[in-house]
Amino acid sequence: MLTFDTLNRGLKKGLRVLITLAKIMIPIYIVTEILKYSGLLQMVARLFIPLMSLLGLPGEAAFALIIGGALNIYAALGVLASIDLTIKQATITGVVISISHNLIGESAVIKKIGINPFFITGLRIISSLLTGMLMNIIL
Amino acid sequence: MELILVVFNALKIGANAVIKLGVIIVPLMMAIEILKDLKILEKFSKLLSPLTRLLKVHQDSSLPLVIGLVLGLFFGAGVLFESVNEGQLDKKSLVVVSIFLALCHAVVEDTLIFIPIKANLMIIIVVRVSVALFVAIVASRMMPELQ
Repeated sequence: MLTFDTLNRGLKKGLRVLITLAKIMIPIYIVTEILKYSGLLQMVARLFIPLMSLLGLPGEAAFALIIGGALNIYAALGVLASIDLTIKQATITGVVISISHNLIGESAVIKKIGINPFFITGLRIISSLLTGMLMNIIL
Repeated sequence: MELILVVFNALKIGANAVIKLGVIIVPLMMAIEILKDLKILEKFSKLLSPLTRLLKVHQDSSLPLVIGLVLGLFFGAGVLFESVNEGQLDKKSLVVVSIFLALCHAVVEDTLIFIPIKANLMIIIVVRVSVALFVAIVASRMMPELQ
């Protein structure tokens, strides 16, 4: 049944998600900006250029994919906020991260229903990267 | 001095992005609570029979599928876990549905979140669903009927 409590719960949940998002995204964005300012980000990003160029992305995007995979989409967004991407690159990044994110946290859920989490995680990483490469060729 | 400016600027831009996302996320969470309380997804799940047939899974898989697609992996897995404990679902359905949901869940929230980077949301959602379908269908065809 729909009551006032429904909307109240939705509002509270929405605000809670927003606070979590702010607590993760803003600090990561600040750290990324500092790394960028120091030049360290670009230096390490150079190592990822060969892999990222397969996806049509700049080397820096590797940080977003790694942080998104290890933590969650909010964290990846914090990194992405300091990288300049074209619409095509942003869309490819969005697809890869939406398929492959929060791999540790979500593995716990997968394990609980009795499925091998390593199998599922491998499947997510491989399918997201292959999709990104395919999109880079097609788009 | 310049570093302080970098931090201050990042804080400003970051806070701005969070507020923009808040305008989307708060109404979305309210809509999701309405869906839950009116049990709309439970009614809607019967419409998902083409999907269960395509994946070659038990027809009772439609509820965990729709819950996971809309509400997220956590809720979808919860319903899946219940169905397994109640003995409604066979092992093959469990594996195929888990694969599909692991790749594709919370499609509204996980897609709208990419608004700040100006991605094409339509492409993100269509490609993600298609890839999950493809992987799950391949897995389903490769698996013998498990009981």
